[in-house]
Formats: sequence, structure tokens, C-alpha cells
Amino acid sequence: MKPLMIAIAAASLVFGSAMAQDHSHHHNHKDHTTLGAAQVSQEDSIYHLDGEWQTHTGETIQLAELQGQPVLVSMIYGSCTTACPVLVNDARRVYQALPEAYRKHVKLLMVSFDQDRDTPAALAEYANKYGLGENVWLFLHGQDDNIRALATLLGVRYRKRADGDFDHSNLVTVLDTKGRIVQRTEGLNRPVDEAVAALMKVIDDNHLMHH
Amino acid sequence: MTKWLSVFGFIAVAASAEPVLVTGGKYTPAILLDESVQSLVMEDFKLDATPVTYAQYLEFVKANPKWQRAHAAAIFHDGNYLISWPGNTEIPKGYAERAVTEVSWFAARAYCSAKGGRLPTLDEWEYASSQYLQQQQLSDQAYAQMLFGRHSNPTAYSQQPLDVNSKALAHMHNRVNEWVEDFQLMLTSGDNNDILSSSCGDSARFMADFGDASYATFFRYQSRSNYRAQSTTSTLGFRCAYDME
Amino acid sequence: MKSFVKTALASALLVSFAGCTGVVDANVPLKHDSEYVIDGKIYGMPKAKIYRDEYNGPAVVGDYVTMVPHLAELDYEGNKEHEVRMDVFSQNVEVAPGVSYNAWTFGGSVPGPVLHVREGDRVVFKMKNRSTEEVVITKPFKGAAPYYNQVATNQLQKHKPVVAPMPHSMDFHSGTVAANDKWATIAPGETIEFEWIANYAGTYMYHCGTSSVLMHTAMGQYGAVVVSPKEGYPTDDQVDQEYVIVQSELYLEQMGDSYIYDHSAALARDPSHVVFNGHVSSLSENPLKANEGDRVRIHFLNAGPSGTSSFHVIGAIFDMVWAEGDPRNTWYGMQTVLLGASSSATVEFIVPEEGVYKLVDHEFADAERGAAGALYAGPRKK
Ligand SMILES: [Cu+2]
Repeated sequence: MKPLMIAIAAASLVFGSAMAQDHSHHHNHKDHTTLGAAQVSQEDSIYHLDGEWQTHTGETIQLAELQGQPVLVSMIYGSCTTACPVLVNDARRVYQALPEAYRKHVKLLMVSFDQDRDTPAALAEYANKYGLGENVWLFLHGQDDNIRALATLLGVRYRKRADGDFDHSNLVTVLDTKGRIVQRTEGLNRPVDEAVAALMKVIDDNHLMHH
Repeated sequence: MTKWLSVFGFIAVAASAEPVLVTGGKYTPAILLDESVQSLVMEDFKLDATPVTYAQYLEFVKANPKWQRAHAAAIFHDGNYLISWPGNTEIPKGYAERAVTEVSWFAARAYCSAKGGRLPTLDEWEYASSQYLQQQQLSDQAYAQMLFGRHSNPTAYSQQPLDVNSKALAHMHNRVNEWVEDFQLMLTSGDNNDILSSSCGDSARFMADFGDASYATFFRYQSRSNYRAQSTTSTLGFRCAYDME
Repeated sequence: MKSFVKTALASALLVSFAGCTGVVDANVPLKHDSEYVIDGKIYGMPKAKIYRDEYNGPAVVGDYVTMVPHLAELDYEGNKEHEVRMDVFSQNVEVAPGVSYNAWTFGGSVPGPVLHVREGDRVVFKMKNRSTEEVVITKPFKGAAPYYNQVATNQLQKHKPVVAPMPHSMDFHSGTVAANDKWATIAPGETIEFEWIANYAGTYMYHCGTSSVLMHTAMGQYGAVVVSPKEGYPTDDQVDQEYVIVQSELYLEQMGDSYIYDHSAALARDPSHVVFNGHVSSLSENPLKANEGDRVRIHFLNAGPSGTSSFHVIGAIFDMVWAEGDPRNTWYGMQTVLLGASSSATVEFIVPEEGVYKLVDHEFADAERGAAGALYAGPRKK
């Protein structure tokens, strides 16, 4: 029998505000619906997922290749005009709140829900808009089954609507060097302090600054 | 990988039936996941006639050691994956033709993918179920009683053998609850407070009608959506779907 | 976990910060940074934790956790923190002679265990979803609540463990918390842990809140929490016997040799059985006991899930009734107390003579389906 005590993080630290966000969409079905995040395991690496992804620069990678650095990950889709730009900006806010010396050790990973529309080229355009330099952003395009598996491990709930848009949870997640979830921020435009602290701790604990 | 068992497996275990063609068409779900969508148009797809058996799953783990009990990554199950198996490549005695259980959503997906298929979506599964109920000419009441009967004593149902040679859809409701790709979806548009978050008693707004059959269906949706992707239980199995060529 | 007591000064500051003029108890123990006080009541519990572990100890833990109709005596002064566990799992239980079904239960019986605390007490609650296991509750278990021994010596329900994997949750009406957090549904194998403060005196229902709530409650997932008032009831020093009765409906139909839940009957509010303490014979096989001249107190909860109860004791009059068990809600001289689903009353009566006193739901369609029992009164002792 395995010795296990798998911590599953309480779903959300900011549930109330996530709901408050939602009310703006209540009477407008054109906008997507915010879904509460699901619970996740924090004990194990999400890099066990072995699917292949295309980056916005046209490379093919597996998630495990991101090992060795902390990663700030969020899931979005390119044609989303409401929550997604805010999520991308939230990731940028976290990045910019990091002390200068820490920044180059962090990867900002944006994974698309949209297999059909978010081609690597479309994602490249998206990345350009948020220009923080070549090596900071990584936008990923993948197949539906890989997207679903990753979302499930991150606790991001989503579904495709009949009009091609997506209902989804708004979640920015910090992964440690091994791909374990160490911190989650649910909601939009939330304070970034906890994510910043989590990233700095991963960098300090792994002595990445001295390498 | 093809969706056929190896020749070896063929001799060792009962032949698995061909997947069944589910002909597309218009479909009115009993449960309204989206209040603005009353009916769906489904395309043709294929679905396994029965849930995947222990014998079939054994062949899968023999060919894919990383899905054997001792080797499956911890993040993909809750610690009880295949817990009843005496060994990594040995199923419990007498289980060969039962629906395989103690498999997580991740494991079920890996199996289907190895067979060239995938898990059915929730809509596909429920659409197939509605066709199955028509074929079986099961009254709403008989269907509801079967489901509530199973929920009252699920182990007794899950331990029955399957009709492994069935040429038509079989055992949709009288063996195990089944994983679907988007099992977590129990929600409606325009409200964060979906049923997954377990609000007390507010099921009415999701239901097309309040008949026994719809309620039984609702209950299946609901209990399924409250599992985690890592959950493994002795009453939860799966069958695979396949796209048309 | 942090554990500290904030000073009265801090409490007072918090209260004034909240703009509230209530009287602050100088010794209200705050434990977590998130907590605050309004009118002497503590709010702002920390988030629930959900995790997996391999717990297989006693399914019911807590010094003040008993089986109906028993109520544990509060043998401590002031307030206390209670560590309470009630695991959720399935159990075959008999509810009428020859009628048993696979119930979904808290702690293995229908109704679940009774928890007794004092107004202001803190409850640290744990529940593991053990619906994938066969859990035996009929043998004594070291570290288990008094409930275990009481079940072992009262085998009317003929408890037999069964496996019925199912997501479940716990909703304590006695807790004032964010339900979406604390009353969250957990999958088989998971444990949920959360705290609540017994801010209000009274007798409260707890139940599973997982949809379909009608089915989960009708399957047996409910019980009572008795929160005794901080200053007591005015008659505390006169009470000779104190009991708990939980009324509920069952909706069963025969299928083969056993019985299953009948959803149409539940929707039609047409119960197969209406029971006191989980069995049509609970209070006739094991009648309540008292003596002539005794003052008897009964905490009576109508768990429903959908019916009302008109509780009456044949041959007695309730001289004191506290609606919902709150000592501020006093009624006098009632023959019958009408309770909606999840409503309670604490009633007291004098046992006038030696004899047998039938307890009934005076809605006789219910009494005929099982909602009846008895109190046996012996000779006067005083
Ligand atoms: Cu339940």
C-alpha cells in the first residue's frame, strides 16, 4: 500500500469575487460563463502527461520539457474577448511584480482550449500583442484530448459552447520545477502577491539564481 | 495500435464484439446543460456494445506496463486503482467477463486511446442511451426502477457478467456507471452556481420534465460529475467511442 | 495549524470595527486569523480542507456523540472544542420487521449519531467518504464515540456493511458558514475537514446536501445536533430524563427480496414508512423510561425529508416548549407540536402517573405507518 496523504487544495481562495465577476455576464449569453475551478492534487507532477503540443514558434514539445523552472500557467482561447485577455494580463502582472533578477527564471505558459481556431500562427500573433520578449511567453496549441487532460489536472473546468466559444474557470496556477501545483489564484484581476511569493520561493528553494 | 486485441488475447479471452454504429440524429437531452440549447444534432459515431471487460483491460495493461497497478503514476488515480487485482497482470478469479472497474478517468482514456478510440462525450453516451431505451422498449418506469435499483445496490449489479458477444448496445444501465470524456460538466449557462458545486435541491431548473425517467437520468449525471478524474470505485467502468472513418 | 486565543481587547476591537454594538463575551476564543465576532458569536471559519488519507479507524469519534435516543451529558464548564468524526458509508439496515434496505448513512445508522455541544462550542469536524468500503459498526472500537457501544447493544436495525460508492456531503444546520465551501461534496475515498461554531442554541438537523438531496436524505443521511443553551434552560435542575427523537419518512418499494428507494413515492410524498429513530419499533422495542412525577425533556427533530410531524404524547401535556430548542422561543401548555421538515422543538412534560404513554405523530396516516412509540413510567420515587 502506498503511503499517501495527497493534499487537494480547497477549490478557491477568492470564490466570492469570482462569483461577483460572473454577475456581469448574467444576462448576456454571448459572453462566456465563469465556471468554478475543480479541486486538484498537489502531490504529483502534471508532467506525467505525455501528449504533444505545438508552440507559437512552431516547435513540437511535451510538457515535461518545462521541468527545471517554475511555470505560471493559465488556460485561455484566442478569440475570447472577455476573460482571456485579463488572464493573460494577470500573468503579465505577476511577471512584472517579480524582482528583476527573478524574472528570467520564470516561464509564462498559456494553453489554448481551442484546437480548431488557435493555430500556432494565431497564437504567435497573440503572443506578440503581449510582448515581454521571446523567452518569456509560451503559447501552446494541442489536441482536444490533451487539452482536456491538462485542464483536468489543473482543475480548470471548461466546455465548448455551440457558438464555438468556451465556458471556463479563470485560474492562474504556479507550478514548481517538477511540475507540481504550488499555488492557484482563481478569478480575474486578483492581487498577485501570493503567486509572486510562490514563484520566488520555488526559485530560492532550487537555488536557480546561482546557476 | 488498432482496436483489436492481439491474436493471443483473442484465444485467451472471449472475442470482443465490433463497436456498434450509433446513427446520428436530433436529440433532446433530459437534462438541460445549457438553458439556451433545447436539442442537439448528433453525428454518427461508434460505441462499444458493452463496457470494457476485465479480460480486455488485462490485455491492455500487458501491452502497456505503465498502466499496470504498481506502475500507474499517482497523479492519475486515487490510490485504489485496480486494487482487487492479485498482481500486475492478473485479474481476480472469475472476473474475466465482468465490466472492469477500479479504473480512473485517466486510465479509461488511455485504454480507449490505445484501441484507436476515445471516451464518448456525455452527449454521445446519453444519446446512445436514449436509442438503447427505444430499442429495448423499456418503459420510463422500468428504466427508472432499474437505475434506482442499481443505485440502491450497485455492487450486486457491477458483479454480473456481461453479454460479451452482444451485437447491439447492451448493459447501458444495469452494470456500472460509466466514465465520459466531459464527466465534470453539470452546469448551465448564466450562473456560476452549477450543480457540481452541490447546491441543495435546485435540480428543477436543469430538467426538461419531472418524470421518473428524467430524474433517474439526472441522478446519473449528478453522481458522475461529483467524482474526481482520479476516482476509482468498484462500480464505475467505461466503454469507448470511435469516430467514423 | 495555528491555535491561539485572542484577547478580549482584540475581540472588542474587531466588533467595533464591524460597527456593531453587541455585548462581547470577554472569553470568546478566536482560533484563526479569519475569525471575527458579532454579538458574541464567532464567524469567519477557515476554508474546508479536502484530502485523501488511509484512515480506517472508528467511523464515529467524539466524546459527546451518541445513538438516538441517548444524549451525552455535558460534563464540562463553559466552552470546549470538540473533535468530531462521522464517516459516510452504506449499511443495510432494517426499518420494519422484514424490511431492510441499503441505506446511505452517517456513521452507519438511520438516523445518524446525535452530537451534543454547548452554545459557543467549536466543532472540528472530519468526514471520510468510505462508501467503497465495508465498515463494521457493531463491534466496540478503541477511540470510538459512545455511539459505538450503544449500537452494539441495540441491534434493532441489524446493521450489515455494504459497498455503495457514491459522492456525499455534510450540511450541519447548526453551523453558520459558506455552504459552497464547508458543505462541499466529496468523492469516495476523500475526507473533508472543517470547523463551525455552535453560535445558536437549539436542536438542529444535519444531512447530506448532495443532489438529489431528496434521494440522499431519503436514503438515510440525516441526524440531530443538540446545542444546549449557554445559560441552560430555566428548568434544567428539574429535568429527570432527557431524550432525542428524530422522525423521518422512508420511501421504499420491494424489489426481489429486498427494498429499494422509490423515487415516485418520494416525489408524491407517499411514504412506505414513517419512523421515530429509524425503525417502526424503535420506541416500542426499547421504550423511553421515566417514573411517575418525572419531568421529561425530549429534543424532537422532524428530519422529513418532505413531511410534517404533529408530535403528541398521549396522556401528557407539554408544559414547556422551546421552538427549535432556542430558550427564547417559549410556548406553554401545548398538546401537540407541529413541525415542518428540518424543524425541531424541545418539549417537556410531567409524567402524571405510573403507566404507558404513547408517543405519536398525531397525523394518523403517519402514525399508522410507524410514527409511534412509547414511554414506560415506573412508580413515583420522590
Ligand atoms: Cu449523500
